[in-house]
Amino acid sequence: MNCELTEKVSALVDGELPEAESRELTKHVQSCEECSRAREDFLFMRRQIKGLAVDEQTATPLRTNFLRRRIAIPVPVFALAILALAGLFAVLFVSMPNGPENSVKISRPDETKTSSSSLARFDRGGKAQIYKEVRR
Amino acid sequence: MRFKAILFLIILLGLFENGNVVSAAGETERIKFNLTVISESPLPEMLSKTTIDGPAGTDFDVDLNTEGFDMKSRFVTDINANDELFVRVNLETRRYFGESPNGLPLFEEDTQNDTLVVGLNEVVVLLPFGRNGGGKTLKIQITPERYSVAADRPDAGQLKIDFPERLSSGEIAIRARKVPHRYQIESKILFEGKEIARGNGFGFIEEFTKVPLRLSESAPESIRGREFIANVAVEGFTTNRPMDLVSISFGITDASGTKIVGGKGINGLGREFRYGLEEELGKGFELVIRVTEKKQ
Ligand SMILES: [Zn+2]
Repeated sequence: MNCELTEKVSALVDGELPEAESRELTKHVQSCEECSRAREDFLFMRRQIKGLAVDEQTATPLRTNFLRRRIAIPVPVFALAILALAGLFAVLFVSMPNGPENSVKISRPDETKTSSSSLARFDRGGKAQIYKEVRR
Repeated sequence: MRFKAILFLIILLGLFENGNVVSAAGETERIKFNLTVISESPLPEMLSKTTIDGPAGTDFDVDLNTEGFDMKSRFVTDINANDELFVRVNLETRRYFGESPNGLPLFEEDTQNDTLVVGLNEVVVLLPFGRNGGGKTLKIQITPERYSVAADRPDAGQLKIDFPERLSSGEIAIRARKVPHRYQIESKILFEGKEIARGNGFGFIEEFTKVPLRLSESAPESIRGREFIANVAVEGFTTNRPMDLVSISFGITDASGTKIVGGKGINGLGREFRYGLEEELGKGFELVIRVTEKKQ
């Protein structure tokens, strides 16, 4: 059950592979359970690390987002997750120099993208908008 | 689900040719939707372009599926009584939010519904990720174009969709379909097989219509003087043989809006759908709903 490609997954997550190889490996990861798990672990680790950084440019405090939006997970899981997140927030706020007034943001998947052609590169956590405008 | 594989661009065609608008002059009204995917700012760059070309009343979906983010958007389009194009939009997004320390995924979800009346000089803009401050914004621009062709042209009622000039990354899927939007709704209450109340109404797809039911002289003592309002929505339409199918949501309320009964069902278009009301009104009572297409 040892896939020889798993050791490359970290490089893939970090965007360090040449484009062709990255594409090949991405395809493989989708069908290989071991590599897929490895990739998620790396992504999770990255988020944990980046989540501790304060993003000063972001105007939206995470708390507002969090309260406004619905989170879709089963209820018992939700309760556990809330506790877990509350713990994580406590750590974040304590570690910030100026207290909770500063805006904080957990990193978004755009920072862990594997391919520069992925539309995920546009995702900075904003809310979708639909409207009409005069033709230019 | 968390990190869905990048999908190939799927373009599916619903080749239904129902409910075409034919004007008195023997012309069929058609509409084109030019969908361009643009990366905006600093300079706009077109990533892909697709054209949907079908009879007036063509509907379409634009789905986006990328790492950590899913969007499903449904566009029901039609022409209103003032001869204006309107677009009813249902937009659902789901973003991977993070993971709890015990490895459980968290998602944030957002749903928006809106109906836009789109003028001849206007376009519909969809920003899947919102507006992106200083960085690049992904923009899907939908430009409608109404036109007419002779009704006797063989392709007058056809639905066409072309392949994008440039396949950006295969993360966007576009589907189009043409199904009837307007329905006639007939509702009755029977007692021991005999009609004792009836009402008629018109409905637009996926919208509830209230149909007041008028009691007849022969209504039994037990329900005389009561008021019943049927509430019916055609939730979906499927082309099928030997007959097309509609899925409906229905209910009955009293005059104050208090629910007496409610349910869902699938039935042949034009066929009577029956639902027992023994528990609600007593033995021998039945609700009948019949949905037919309303030709314009
Ligand atoms: Zn593998």
